Amino acid sequence: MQSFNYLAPHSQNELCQVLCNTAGKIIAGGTDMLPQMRNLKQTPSTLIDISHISDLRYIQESEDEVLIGALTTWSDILESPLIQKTAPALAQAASLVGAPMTRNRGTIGGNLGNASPAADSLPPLLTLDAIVHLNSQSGQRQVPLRNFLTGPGTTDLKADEYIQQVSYKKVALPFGNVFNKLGPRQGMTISIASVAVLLALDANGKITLARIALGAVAPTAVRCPDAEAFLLGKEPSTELWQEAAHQVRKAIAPIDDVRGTQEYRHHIAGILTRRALQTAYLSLQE
Amino acid sequence: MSENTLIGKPEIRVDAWSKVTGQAEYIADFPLEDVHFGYVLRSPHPHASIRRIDIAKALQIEGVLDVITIEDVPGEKIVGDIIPDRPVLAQEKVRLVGEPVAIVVATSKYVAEQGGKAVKVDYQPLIPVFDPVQALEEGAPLVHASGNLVSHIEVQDGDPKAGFQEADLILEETFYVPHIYPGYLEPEAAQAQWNPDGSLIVWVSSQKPFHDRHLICQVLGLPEEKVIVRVATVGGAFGGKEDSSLAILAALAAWKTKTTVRLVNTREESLLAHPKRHSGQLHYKAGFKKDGTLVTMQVTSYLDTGAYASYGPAVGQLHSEVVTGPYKVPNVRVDTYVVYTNSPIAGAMRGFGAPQANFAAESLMDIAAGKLGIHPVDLRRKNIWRPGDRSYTRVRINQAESLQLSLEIAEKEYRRLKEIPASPGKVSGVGLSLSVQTMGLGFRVPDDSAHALEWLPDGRVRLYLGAPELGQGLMTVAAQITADALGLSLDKIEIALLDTSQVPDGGVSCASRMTYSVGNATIMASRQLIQGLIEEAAKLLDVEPAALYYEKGHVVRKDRPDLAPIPVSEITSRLAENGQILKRQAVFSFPYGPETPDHLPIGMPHVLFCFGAHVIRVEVDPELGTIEPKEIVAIHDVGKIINRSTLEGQVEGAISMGLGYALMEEMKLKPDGKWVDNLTEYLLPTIMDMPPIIKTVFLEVPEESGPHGAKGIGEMGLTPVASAVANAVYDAIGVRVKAIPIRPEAIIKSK
Repeated sequence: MQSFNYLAPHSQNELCQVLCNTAGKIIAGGTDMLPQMRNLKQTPSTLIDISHISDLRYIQESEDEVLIGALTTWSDILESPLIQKTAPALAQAASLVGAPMTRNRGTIGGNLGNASPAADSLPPLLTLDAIVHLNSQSGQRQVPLRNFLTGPGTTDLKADEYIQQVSYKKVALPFGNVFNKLGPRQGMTISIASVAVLLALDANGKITLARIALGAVAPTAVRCPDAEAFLLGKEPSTELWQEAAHQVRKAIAPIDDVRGTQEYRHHIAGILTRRALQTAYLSLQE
Repeated sequence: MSENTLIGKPEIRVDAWSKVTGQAEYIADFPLEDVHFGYVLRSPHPHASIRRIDIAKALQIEGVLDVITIEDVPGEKIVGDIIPDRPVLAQEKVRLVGEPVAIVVATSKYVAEQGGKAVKVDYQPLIPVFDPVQALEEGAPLVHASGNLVSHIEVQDGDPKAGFQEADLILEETFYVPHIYPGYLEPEAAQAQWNPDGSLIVWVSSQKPFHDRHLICQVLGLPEEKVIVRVATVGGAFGGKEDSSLAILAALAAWKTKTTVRLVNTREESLLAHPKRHSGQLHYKAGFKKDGTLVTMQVTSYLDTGAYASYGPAVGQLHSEVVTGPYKVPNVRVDTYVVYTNSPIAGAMRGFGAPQANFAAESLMDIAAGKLGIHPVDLRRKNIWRPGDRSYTRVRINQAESLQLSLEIAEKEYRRLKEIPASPGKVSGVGLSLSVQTMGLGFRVPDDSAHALEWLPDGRVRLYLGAPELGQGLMTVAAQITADALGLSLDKIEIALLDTSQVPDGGVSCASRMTYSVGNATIMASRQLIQGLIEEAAKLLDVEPAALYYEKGHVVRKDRPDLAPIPVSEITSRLAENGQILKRQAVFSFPYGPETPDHLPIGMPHVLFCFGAHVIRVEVDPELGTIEPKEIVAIHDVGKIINRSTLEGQVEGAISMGLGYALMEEMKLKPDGKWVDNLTEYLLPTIMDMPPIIKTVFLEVPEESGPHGAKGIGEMGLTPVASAVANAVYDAIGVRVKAIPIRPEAIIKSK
């Protein structure tokens, strides 16, 4: 048990001021923070509860973009037709986060801020080239997600900043976008490895867009540029996916932990990638 | 009894409403005035000597009432369930991570925890030992000065050596089973209230309130009439709440501070400090004839009981009794070593030594079947106990015919499941195993169960149930049997709070024997209650008792058929006016009759067995190594179904525990030297890990000594799961797993 100050700003303006004046830790749904506070991995002197800031919970679209407010919950995401259409892998990932209670409380902003290498939202967002929008008293800043993630549990977020939203450019239809996750059990599970792919083909059936991102196999969720470059311009085939999987295995740096060994992670990262590519490809045939 | 019998009806549980509406009172949220909170300071070391405990700083903290150590214990400082080997609080040394060292009592949880941090314990770490085989080696660190061997159970029947000479196939295999956590929703909790007359009331979440009272009295040096134990709502137990440690600590804290003290374990404390299932290494050597006849078996098991014996010696005994599986083996040699280590304590847990044996024995049968070229079903059929057979412990097998019945159904299910095609990319496999589980505590262990009934003035009946409801449905089944015996509707039975000063000693809620013992006792008490009613009614009516008979809540006059039957309430209310209570108590003693041989090769044989079979279809992902249970068929002989809903609940729950044992659960020692101590790392199966189809098939081969023929079911549903899964995995991809939990890594590596 710890003692801490508790602040609950009701607007983004108030939040900016609070962050300017106080070294605190932001809490939203609490699904990551509370367990970490309980086991003393987090011992904030001030807890800044942003869950009362109602204008941070939205899923919106402009002509070419989708914007997701930081306080949008997993349940919001998985039920959103817009997300299902423009980012099916993200909707899929949202449906696999924790249990219904976790999904009703946990937010996408929290998932980004917590920056677990195994966070479910990250591989899908990485395949969308997502941008993280940060805000503070001194102004707004936009950081590509892949630069935002700096290590296990660390990000580019400055002490006076908060995550306002995450956005991605709509990808021209049709495209295949798939999330694959393997954990040590089926429900409420933390990934041993996860993968998201985004795939598009031209009229001749050649790959015009290939993005591959993995979770839980490196200090941060990672993209695999070599494997992506390798796929471009080629025709899908089982052998091609196999080779891409091989490239992916070279790009990752997994560790041993209680959920799985380094060796096993290496092994399954390739298999999950190959299968995700095939599923994405098949979804384009429908 | 009556034609509208309640027996077999899927009655809604009597505790369902209070539980689903949150009204049931668990200790953690029990309304009690002026309660203080205890913080148990626990050892961070698996093995260390204690040079000094400094409590001075903690005592200075405002709000801290007291800090209690072993020095404060007025009575027995070292107690135990079977062997007195466990200090109430650490004495001179600690033997496991999580061992209680001191209790800080304070006005709030927060202050108590601050107090705990202020207690300085000077430890001198000692080299720990975690492996039961290593612990028996020369020069191994001594967990207890008396040596690391707790008990060696040695049984021999026939001539195993000669048996091996006769055998055409000799198999030798070693199996490994993990330490696992009972995983109840409610962690252990206890609270105690000191009264100005020096007496104590202790609320427990426990399977054995009368034992708790006994141990509390030992530790505090109090006579039993000074201590009342009350059982609060118990949020699951599974054997893990046969441990009195927290009840003793709460009582000690209340006694020392002369206040009311509550102790509620965190999940971490529960995982580290309270009893688990024994892990172990099981070496099997078995000899078969070409035709599949099992001729000889030699089994050496090393069971890790952790730092304190708990129920280890008894677990070792039961394990030894069922180590051959339900098979007739003429030559058997069994050596079971129960060993101290610095692992978490292992004690009672659902199955009590049988699941370990089952995983090994039923895996071995399939290995043998493969080598002999005999179908696993046929190999079992050849060797199962038949009516009239005796086990190798020379105990006559009851309802042996249900084994064959189970096997026949299992065979049909096996063939049906084999026909189901695998999902794309997966490989399907079907595994089968038989199950034997004992009932009762075993010969020479006091195994009486007393319960009482009182006919209230309003015509309802109060059942004084002497053993706790753990969540398994005991209250419902007991009320059903009682209502049936009295010809009343279920809503006419109310169940008294379990308070050791108010109810008779019903024994420990354990050992698959509650329906059996409680059912028998309540039927006996019902008969006596009716007889008492007739006698009292006869006096009131001034007739001979023979002129009256009882029917469905009424007393009927044979001599005056013209008169309307008299509702019981008219009689009991009259008795109440005269200050009379109509109450009867009955004791059911587990029958260890003339059939029990005099010179048994084993100290504690059980004389009643429960049988069943499980068939499971799994799908293995050959690339990922993952195993997905798709369908499980659980066949069990229960003698007689009392309540189908609670019965199905018991079996389905047991299957989920069995799947956890087979596929994911393990108290692992991490590379950093810490045990997994939370439910993010210690994984229990979720509903999504359950097979989409669970089919329960119940046989009703009556046990003549059982209430309506009923036998036990509490444990048996778990016992065969792990071996059935392992056999199904082998069937799917040809990988023979000899260690559980089965990890995908192991499947990939072995391929």
